[in-house]
Amino acid sequence: MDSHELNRLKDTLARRPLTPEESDCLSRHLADQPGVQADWEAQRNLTRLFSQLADVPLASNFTAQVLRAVETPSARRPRYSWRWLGFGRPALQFAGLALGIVILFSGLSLGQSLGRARMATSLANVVRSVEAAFGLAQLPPVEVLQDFEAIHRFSQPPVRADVELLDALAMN
Amino acid sequence: MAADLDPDAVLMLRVKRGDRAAFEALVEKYKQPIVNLMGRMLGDPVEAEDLTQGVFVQVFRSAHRYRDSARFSTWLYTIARNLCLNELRRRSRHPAESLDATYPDDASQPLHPIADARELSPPDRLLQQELEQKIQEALEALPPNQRLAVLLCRQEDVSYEEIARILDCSLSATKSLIHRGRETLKQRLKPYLRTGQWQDSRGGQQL
Repeated sequence: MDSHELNRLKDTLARRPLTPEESDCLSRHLADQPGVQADWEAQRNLTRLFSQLADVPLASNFTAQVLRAVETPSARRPRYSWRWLGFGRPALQFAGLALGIVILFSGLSLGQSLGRARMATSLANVVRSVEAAFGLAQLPPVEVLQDFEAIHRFSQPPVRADVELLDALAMN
Repeated sequence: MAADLDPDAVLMLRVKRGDRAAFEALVEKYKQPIVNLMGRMLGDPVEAEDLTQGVFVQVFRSAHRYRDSARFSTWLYTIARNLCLNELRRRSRHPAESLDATYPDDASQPLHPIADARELSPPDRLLQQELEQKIQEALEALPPNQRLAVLLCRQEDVSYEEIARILDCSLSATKSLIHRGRETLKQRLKPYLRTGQWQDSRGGQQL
């Protein structure tokens, strides 16, 4: 028996017990290969075991129940239609929740952006008001302000020279 | 055209046109194979019957989508597979009760036994029940795709190519699933395969 025939028998054995002719053919092949006899025997016994399984019981009026179910679609909605389509209720609920969260965050983000713009405008107005009130735009350069003496002189009224004293000193 | 060769496809095309008698014929033909598949996949005959009804309701409601380019059985088992896998996923998210649960007074009796309608003597019935329980436990230990492949393989009118289409994988991957599933079953059921500790209830012979 060639490997193709052997594989065909193996495929057949997975589905049903072998016929007497097939069993004879296999036995002749296995007589020369005692090493794999135990495995083939286990395969045959497994198939025989499965062939002895009882049918799952079914109500005697099963077909009538099915016909009733399809004739009254409003009375009996398909129990598994959502699941069969792959859109179970939990999945829909999750999708709705996710969409709600996205909308909420988008709204918050937009609100924050608008708020920042308004705040920036208000701050700019405040700065302009302060500048106008204190004449900050007319301040001298920073280099001048660093010199204490200069600052001190700015705060004092300008000194008038004593001309009469100077003339008197010059005559002497 | 496939409909020329497949009488079930011809019936399904009639269902598309509203023929209730054709639909009834298809239900009669496939109700037992489908409930057997569901029962062995889920381990619960009550749930299996409910789900089987759902399969045929879906077949009827989706009749407009049926294309005669595929065999009817391929389409039918694909619907069954989808409903079954959805139910298994639902159970894994919301476990209600263990399938190993037993009656409080008798730990040997499973809560959801698959009853054997055959005429058996009490000792044979006990043996058969134990055997069926062991087989069901071994099946439930398989991953769902392997379990489904092994069970579909038992349907002699469904070819390996059709099983591949139902499982949505290649032919070689399908055969690999079946082979791995059977190897696992052989290991788990070794005591029952080697020593022959069961009776062939139909022939009444000790094997």
